Amino acid sequence: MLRIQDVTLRYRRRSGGPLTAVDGVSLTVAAGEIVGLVGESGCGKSSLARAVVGLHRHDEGTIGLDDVDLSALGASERRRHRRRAQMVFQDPFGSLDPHRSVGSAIGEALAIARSVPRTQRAERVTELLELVHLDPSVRGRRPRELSGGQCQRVAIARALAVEPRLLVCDEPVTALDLSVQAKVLDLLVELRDRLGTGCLFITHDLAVLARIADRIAVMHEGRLVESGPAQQILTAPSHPQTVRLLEAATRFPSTAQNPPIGVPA
Amino acid sequence: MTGTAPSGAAASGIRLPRALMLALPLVLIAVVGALAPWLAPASPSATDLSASLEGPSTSHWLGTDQLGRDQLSRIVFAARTSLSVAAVVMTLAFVVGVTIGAVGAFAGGIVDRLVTWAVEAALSVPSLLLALAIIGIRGNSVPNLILALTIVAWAPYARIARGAVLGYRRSAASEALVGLGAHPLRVLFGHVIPTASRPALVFASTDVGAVVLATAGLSFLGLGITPPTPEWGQMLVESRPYLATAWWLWLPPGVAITVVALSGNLLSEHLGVAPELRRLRIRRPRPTPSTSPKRGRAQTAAKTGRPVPLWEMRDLRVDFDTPDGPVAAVRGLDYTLDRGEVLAIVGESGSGKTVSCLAPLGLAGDRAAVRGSARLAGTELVGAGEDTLRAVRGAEIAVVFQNPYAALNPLRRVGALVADGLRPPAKGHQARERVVELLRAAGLPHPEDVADRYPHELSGGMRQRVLVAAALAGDPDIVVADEPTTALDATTQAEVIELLRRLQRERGLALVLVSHDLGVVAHLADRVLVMHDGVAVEEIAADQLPNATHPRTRDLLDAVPRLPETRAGTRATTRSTEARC
Repeated sequence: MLRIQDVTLRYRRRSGGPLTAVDGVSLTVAAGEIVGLVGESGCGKSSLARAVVGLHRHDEGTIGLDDVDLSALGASERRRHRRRAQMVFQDPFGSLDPHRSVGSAIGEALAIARSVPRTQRAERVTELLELVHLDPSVRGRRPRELSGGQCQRVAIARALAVEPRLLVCDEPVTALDLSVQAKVLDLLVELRDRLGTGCLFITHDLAVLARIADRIAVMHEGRLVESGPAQQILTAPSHPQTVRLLEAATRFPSTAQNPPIGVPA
Repeated sequence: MTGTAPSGAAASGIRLPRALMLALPLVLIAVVGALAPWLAPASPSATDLSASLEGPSTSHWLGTDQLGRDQLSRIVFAARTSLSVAAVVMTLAFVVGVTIGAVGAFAGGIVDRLVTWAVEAALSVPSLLLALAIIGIRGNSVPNLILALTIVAWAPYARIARGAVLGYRRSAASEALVGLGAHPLRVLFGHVIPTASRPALVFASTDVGAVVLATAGLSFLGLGITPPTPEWGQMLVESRPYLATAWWLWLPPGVAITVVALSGNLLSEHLGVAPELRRLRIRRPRPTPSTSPKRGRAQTAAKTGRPVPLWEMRDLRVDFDTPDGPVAAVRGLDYTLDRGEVLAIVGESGSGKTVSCLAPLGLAGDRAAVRGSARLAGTELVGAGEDTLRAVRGAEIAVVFQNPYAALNPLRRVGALVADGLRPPAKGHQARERVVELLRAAGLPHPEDVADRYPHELSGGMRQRVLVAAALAGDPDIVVADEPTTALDATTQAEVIELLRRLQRERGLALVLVSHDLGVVAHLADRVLVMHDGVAVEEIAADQLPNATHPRTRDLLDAVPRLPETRAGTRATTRSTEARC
């Protein structure tokens, strides 16, 4: 469904030559698949994610969503097509207008997509809130009156309002408490199962991916250094960078040789 | 909907009356001005030379001027003049300024540079002088007065709008909207213009006073409203020959101008304050040092067998004063900490873990009321004066704050920031040497070089190390690390934890580690205190965590993301392969 081919992305710098943030990366995401893209800060994973949803132009290669490359389209066509890939941002509060209620934010997404008639919008907002396990009564609240986890659910509901084929999640749980993280991750898996939406999940934390990803791709200094089924990457990494990330993601080193805490031996 | 009603009403319940009270003089004057033809006892231009310069009386409440015109009527009609001019000028300045500023920021590139240049040019010219020049060239009339005042007044609106829109354009909210496929016009009118208008509206409330003052000033100079139209500044001019003899000529218009200007300023000050601050009313808590023995004390004392622990909390309670009544953040916390010990306090956000550490040091803000007991080597901190607390902070107990991006002053070099905390204080070479030593201890490469850098030149991990160095500068006995790794990425987190562990061992520090992540603290702490809803639900040795029974502790354990079990063995092989190469 999503096909990223040989994509290169450069930033112009005031001094010196251009900085290559993404260097010849190829990656695919199928419908109903959760692909984890992992790497340290500054490895280019977020730049790639932004290119996928059309917030950045890439310099070389193609990014095809159902074989349509956003960067090759005119302005109005691009607006229509970019709905197919929706981004969920790291900062749940920053991605919502603080002055707008939850209902109005989701309602606006519905209005943009023109997917349901105006008269049925309120009903659809209720459905979407229920889909992300929020009580429909939160529709009148502003983002600041919600917790971080609730806010991220609203952001996901808004993304789903335009019926995307692909969700691009850029560190969606990094800003959240661990216990809330787990619930949001479970929600993403559940939505994948129910809606068949593909998901490109960007994170610096391999442990998060262990919970949800079908496949994992590892980026380092702009290049894809390793990719494969999640189980393989997590248990038999071949690239030193993957090993480093695995070590960093290990939270209980003292018990690593033993069955992990919380899992009955 | 129903759920939000109480909080919304409470918030506006605090805000509205206050704002209304401050706006009341302005509103009253505007209403009086609007109703002038009906309210005024006489025509403002009806002269009666037989009754000139009469003092206040029952027929003329504010007396008459040199032409025998009723002063009260003139004041009332002048309100109409002044506020009409102000309304027109401000509407024009607002619309022109916000449009120019928003369009500049929205368009970017050369358009934005032109806008910035124009705004700066307009702001750098003395405004009254510019207005004088415009009226001087174009002649003395009401439209020219409005034109001159608008040209003087638009620039701040443009600058404010531009800043708001630039901030908005960089936000994830605007990107999300673009990502949804919103049409640029929807973005402009639905989001950009409202974003730009909000702060500009707040500014407008200050501007009322300034514009009324400018109108009066220009009229006073004979360049604004011309006689016989009544205007406050104009009235002041006419009263000048009678300053000593007829106070009723100059006092009322002076008072009117002052009231309008002051009311505008107070209102804007009120509206400009961050809503969060306004919602939480600040009230000094009355400290109530606890004297009675509290539950659990005897038991713990018997268990530890030490008479005076380094750090001892007994029935610590922290309440926050909010408009909806006090909110209990910490509800009776007991624990002790000894030299060289590492205690982890874990819990979800809002469980009171951070507040319980900061409140006894007086760092939880003015609206926190602290009760119970927190003793540092036997000295009671709850209820202690600010001087005592200041002596304790840094030198006895140092705090490493959560966000390394926000906790460092961006305008000062790293070396100076660390040197601030040195105890005993030092200067010059000596300070420099100690700072470099601390930075080296915090594991920063090239500490001499780092000392000369500004925070923005360092990565998140390096900044966190700088914060650790700054915390050590006072040579404290206790370091409280509040979520020291939450803002960092996974590889950096591991390094910072390693650093804290090393320093704690080398220096025999007592370390309090606050975190929501049991995984981070489990192998660093000796003991773990699990907090939920303001109370400690379980205190447990770190190596006993797998056997923890309390449901809240289990929740926190289950939330830790975990790698597959087989990893450990495989990884060991990979590492040994690497080692051989």
